[in-house]
Amino acid sequence: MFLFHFLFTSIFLKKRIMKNSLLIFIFFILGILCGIFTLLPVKIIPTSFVTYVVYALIFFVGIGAGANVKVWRAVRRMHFKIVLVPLAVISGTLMGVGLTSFLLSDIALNQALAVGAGFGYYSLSSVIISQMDGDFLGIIALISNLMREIITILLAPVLVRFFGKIAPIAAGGAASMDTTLAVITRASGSEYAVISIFSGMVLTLLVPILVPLFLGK
Amino acid sequence: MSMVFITLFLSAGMLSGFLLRKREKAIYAAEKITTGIILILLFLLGLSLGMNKTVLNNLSRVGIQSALISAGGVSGSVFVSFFVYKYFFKEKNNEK
Repeated sequence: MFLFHFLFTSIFLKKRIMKNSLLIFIFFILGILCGIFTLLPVKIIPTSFVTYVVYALIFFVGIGAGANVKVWRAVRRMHFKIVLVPLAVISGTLMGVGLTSFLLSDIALNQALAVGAGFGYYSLSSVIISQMDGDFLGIIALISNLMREIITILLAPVLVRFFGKIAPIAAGGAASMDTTLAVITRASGSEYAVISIFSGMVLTLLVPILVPLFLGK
Repeated sequence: MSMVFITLFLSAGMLSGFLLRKREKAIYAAEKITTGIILILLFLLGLSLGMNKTVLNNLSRVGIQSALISAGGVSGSVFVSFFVYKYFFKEKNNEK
């Protein structure tokens, strides 16, 4: 019964979140167009205002996580080994991104790590990074974390086939609790849904903490 | 932005979320507000990007470097998860 309930809510969530992703992009593109054609009377958006809005966002992200008691209970049920999943995602992502940064001409190691610490949560990470480092790194964070989500959605079955059932959860990062959850459960099986949501939740909470840490402010 | 404030707001949010967990309407409203704030912030990010000619003129460079970073992140995390799966999760499933 629990499983049924779980699947139902996850399908419902997925539909709503897909709609949200589309909305996010419409707003983002609208913003770019307004910027290019200077449709708005403002020249520069006051940074302090945006900072307060980001703080508000972080507060509300916390509310969502704190209210989800079901997931925190899963830790006790599954013993502590469930914690290994987000730990694998964190260590693996930072290692991979760190190595990649040596190939990149415009991005320093700590900047690449900050982008990687977005763990696929493109909206929150890009906003924090553009606030702390600038538009260039912000847009890199947006595109690369969005790509991470798309890669997961496209490759989930392949990842399971070659790297085991946790692989798509790892690829999904913070998005494994919502946008990529349906694909992951289809590829890895419904018994991995709780693990997926748990890992996504931990990573979601770590995004606002780790990203500023790498940018050193 | 400062780490102290970020941690403060995040923990305050989690505490409020925990206290409000039984009030579904409040949690639903909080989700709606989260989406709303994200929409505003992404609009503003787009806006400052649209006004930033340096970034706009280098979109292909931005795209390539972004792709490399996401490839690195995905392969690294998948690589480590393979061992976690092999040594901690796989056996238990076979017993079932």
